[in-house]
Amino acid sequence: MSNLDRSIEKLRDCQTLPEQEVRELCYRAQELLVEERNVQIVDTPVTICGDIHGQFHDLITLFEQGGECPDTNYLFLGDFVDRGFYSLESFLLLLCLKVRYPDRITLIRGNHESRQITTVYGFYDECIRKYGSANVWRYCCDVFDYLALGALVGGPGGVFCVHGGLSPSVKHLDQIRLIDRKQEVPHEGAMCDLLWSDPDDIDGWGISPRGAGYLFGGDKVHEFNHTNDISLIARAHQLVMEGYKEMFEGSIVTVWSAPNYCYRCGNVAAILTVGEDLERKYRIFEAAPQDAKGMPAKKPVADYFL
Amino acid sequence: MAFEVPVTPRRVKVYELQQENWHDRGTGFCIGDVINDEAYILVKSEEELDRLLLEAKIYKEVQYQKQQDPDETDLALSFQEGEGCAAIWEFITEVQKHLGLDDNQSEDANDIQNGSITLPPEPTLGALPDIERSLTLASHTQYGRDSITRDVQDLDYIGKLIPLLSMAEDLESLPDLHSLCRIMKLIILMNDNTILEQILLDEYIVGVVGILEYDPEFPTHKANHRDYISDGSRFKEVVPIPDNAIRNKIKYTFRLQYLKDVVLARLLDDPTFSMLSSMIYFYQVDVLNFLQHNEEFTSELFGIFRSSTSSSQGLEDLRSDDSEMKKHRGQQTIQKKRDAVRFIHQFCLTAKNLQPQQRSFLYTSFVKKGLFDVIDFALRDDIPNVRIAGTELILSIIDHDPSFVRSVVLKKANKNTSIIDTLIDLLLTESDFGVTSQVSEAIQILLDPTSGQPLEALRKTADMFLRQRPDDPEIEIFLDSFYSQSVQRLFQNLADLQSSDKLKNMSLQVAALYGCLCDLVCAFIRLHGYRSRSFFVESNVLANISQLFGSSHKSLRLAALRCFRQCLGTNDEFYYRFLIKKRLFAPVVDLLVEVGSRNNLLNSACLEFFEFIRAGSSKPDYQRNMKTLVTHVVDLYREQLEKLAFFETIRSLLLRYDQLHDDSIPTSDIALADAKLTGIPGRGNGLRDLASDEDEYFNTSDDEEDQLLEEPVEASAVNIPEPSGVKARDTSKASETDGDLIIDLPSAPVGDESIGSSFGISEAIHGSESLETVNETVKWLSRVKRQAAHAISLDSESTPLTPLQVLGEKRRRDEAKQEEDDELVKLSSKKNKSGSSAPKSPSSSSAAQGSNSATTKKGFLSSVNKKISISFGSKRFKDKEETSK
Repeated sequence: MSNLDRSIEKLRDCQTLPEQEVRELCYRAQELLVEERNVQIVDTPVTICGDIHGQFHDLITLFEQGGECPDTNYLFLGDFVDRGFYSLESFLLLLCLKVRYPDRITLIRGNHESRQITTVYGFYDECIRKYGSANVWRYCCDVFDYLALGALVGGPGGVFCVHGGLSPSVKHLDQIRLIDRKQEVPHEGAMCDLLWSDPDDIDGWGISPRGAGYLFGGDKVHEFNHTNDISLIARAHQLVMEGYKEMFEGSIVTVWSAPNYCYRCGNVAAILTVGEDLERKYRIFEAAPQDAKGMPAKKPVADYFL
Repeated sequence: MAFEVPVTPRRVKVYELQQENWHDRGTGFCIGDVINDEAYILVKSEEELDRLLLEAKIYKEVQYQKQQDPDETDLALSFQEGEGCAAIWEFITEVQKHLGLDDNQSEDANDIQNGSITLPPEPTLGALPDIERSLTLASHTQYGRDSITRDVQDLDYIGKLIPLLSMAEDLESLPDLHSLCRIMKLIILMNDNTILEQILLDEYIVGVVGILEYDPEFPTHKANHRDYISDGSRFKEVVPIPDNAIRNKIKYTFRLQYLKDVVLARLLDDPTFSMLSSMIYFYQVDVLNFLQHNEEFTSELFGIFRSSTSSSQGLEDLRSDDSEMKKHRGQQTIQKKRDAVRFIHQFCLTAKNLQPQQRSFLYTSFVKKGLFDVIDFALRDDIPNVRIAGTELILSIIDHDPSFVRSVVLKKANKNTSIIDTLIDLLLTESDFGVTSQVSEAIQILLDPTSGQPLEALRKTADMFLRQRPDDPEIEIFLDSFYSQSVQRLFQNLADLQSSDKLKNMSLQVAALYGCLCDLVCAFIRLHGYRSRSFFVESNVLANISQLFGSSHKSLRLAALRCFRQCLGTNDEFYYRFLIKKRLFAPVVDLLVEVGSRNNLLNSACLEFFEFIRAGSSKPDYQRNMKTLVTHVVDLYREQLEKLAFFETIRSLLLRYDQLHDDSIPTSDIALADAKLTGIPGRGNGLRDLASDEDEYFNTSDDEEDQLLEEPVEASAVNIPEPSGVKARDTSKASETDGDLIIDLPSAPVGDESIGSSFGISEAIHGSESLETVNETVKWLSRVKRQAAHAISLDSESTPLTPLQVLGEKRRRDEAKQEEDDELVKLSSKKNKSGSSAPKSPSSSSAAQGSNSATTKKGFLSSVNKKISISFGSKRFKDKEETSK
């Protein structure tokens, strides 16, 4: 059994890895991810998953529902961390699988894969709590900078996958290639928009209430899909009570994969399998039964002086 | 029937709930009546006295409510006078009492009506279900909560519940244990300050967390909170804390944190969460204030570091001295110092929550006591964790107020090595990667002239940002001293870099260090204008960075590329001439050739590099310089580039060159290429840009294009993309995308701006008359360019944050918070629709008329869950859309 397989086993049990192992893993992941395109090309069939947000036990359920990793091809749309109590384990498990089965799993960047956001929404604190220093958080953030910004599933007529949505400065997919993505998510520009935008029932572009990215209407989606010869945009980024929601005559879909978001929203989660003929199959699942997941709790502080 | 039937007609309005709206059924007179031994409420219409507006039998199962703000109700009566309401209410109550004397539920209903929910005075295991029910009921109304919390306190209920835990444990009665746990949760969620404080006391806390170990939601799982809480060894006193009350507060803080983060993490509602957080905050403030102002305590604390041996000396003593005693003592001292570092570290981290003034005061007094000696000790310690604590310590002060640290460093400059040198030494020798990156961050902030500007000032106007900063003499001196001494040492590795095999087999450690150095180079190019420029150019650092392109570490090659890309972004001609002179574009071209058609991150970064030159060559403010670069790059590397012409960017770069050098080339090709490549990052990406790009594409005739290309550079207005921080202050304004800032510069003595020549502005300047003018011009130019470059870098670069960006980030955080909230809001409104309905009650309007209302409520005991599920976010749900329709 290789070190990697051992790490995967550990992570599946929701154990934390020693700092040194994390560092090594992150380095290997970087070397791998640096070879990836800004928009990764992914073959069908593939199962597309939305936000995970540190809900480790639900991620395990997701794999049970969709098939274990090397058997099923996966594409995760980002937002692996923050909010839930197990951001670290969730992200590292996905990263381990990525390093172990590079062609079987694709990870793209979400708006939460950022230094600024993670310091506010829990991932940073979680790392401090679990390791006593910010080192592991730094390693992970370095990996975030290497993550692809999107993916194209199934070639012509296929599915464009991105965390947030469209950008007024990206008309052609080729334009995304011209981004030096190895950076903290900027506050504006194409890279920011791809990770922050939301579809909305408007015409054209609108100011996003999130303060980053844009709102974009059905016309823009149709235009983009037509220009780039794709049939669907698959994105995440917004909570959907029903797990997924298609909009604009099925030209865009939001996939949400964190059931009972924040352990209290009561929503179901969904994953989308795109088959060889680009047929879409949604699978809905609920939060892992409480018993199975043990007690989700943050780890207590170790020694204290104050 | 043994009660009075109200026969006096009372004027009321009757409302009925239909779907989500209250409909006025009319006004009439209300009386009570008893027909065939059944009690009714009757309302006769005011207009047609024969017509009954309402004939409602009083059932015992129906919950009636008398309140100002009914929800989830089907019918409501709004009385003109309070008296009428009271009479009818009494009637209902009496009838229900009469109907259900022996019925438990009805008693509960009575309890609600009378507002007197009582707890059995002596809790027993048998009474647990009753207690639970009472608490559940009470938790529905504020009144119930108030009265029950009073009971809990008066009867010392928690104290009485605790013994039941061991009883239930002895009996191994899981249902009782679960019930106890639910009861304790309910009590805590009453969200009462006094109760929470009581729980923290020594005699309660173990019992309480013990009860909470048996969470019915995890029936097969038992936590071991009691062990954890009872384990006193986690609390360490480096210097004895001379006050019992304060020591207790530390204990309570710990317990509160444990409750908040572990025991109750999943079930806390927002009010209780914030109650716990604020309790923690106030305890912490008390503790910090006390300790900080306790002269004796702080003296002893910092005195630890004044004892004879420093860490390294101490260790040497150990080696040279055989005496066991001494060895032991030496170890003890070091251990004590390490603990003291950790203590001070924690102290300062906790202090981050304090008000800025308090923090300033704290740091000032700590620095006087010798905080920098502590940091110095920590940074030189053998244990990585201590070094990390040291760097975090200094980072926390730097984050708070960099100019303060700088002034301290300057004052101490003559005494011994300054902190910046210690940091540099550490960076260069450090083996722990975490420390390396932290130290690098600290150096960067310390040397960032924009850091330490009071945020208030920055917030005021955008002009503040573009106006020449009021020169902070300290930062100038600080930078002077850094560039006269330390910089050499910091970048020595890069200056000495020789092309060799060593580069190929660089260890991860070394690669990480070079990566950090590259990041610092980027930051200094951006921040330090002429200072860094002359150093980087003269010291060969920049030229040597090209060696790093040969590294086997891809991340390092990327870092090296970023340094050059940073130079491009400066719009500073001196850099461009240097890059040209040293032929530093060669490694970038080679890299692109090497990665070729492989579509990966290196490839994208290279293409972005050339795209910046290509696109810049038709942007007003970059045009002249970029045209020079286009000419240079194509002149020298045409052969390689032509092989790469399958990239749109490279193809149009070549086209651009041809066009610049041959007017006969049809410009429509370029326009086409431009249109294809619009919207590259770094180009202002506002809505307006999009529109104008489109317009440009459709409207630009060849003539106009020609004109555009031949247009002389407008030197009197530097158009600077709106920095994010500015936009941050006022979103509504920013939404108009008209926020571009224009600096009006005095018409500068810039010479002829002929285009197409491969020489830039300096030639033109040198052509002008007097040396003085030249000098002035150069100074002026560098200043303007520094500003412009800085502003531009905000737009296109995203490496370390300037205060404005920090501001922007603050907003981003707020917004992100908002975003998350919105998600919840959307959710809750959704829930409202699909689940129970909570229509607006009519009483809000009727109450305004001074009338009371009695509302009938169908569906007794609206489930607790529903209530809870609506309660969060419901305040804000009104004008938000739901996510999914």
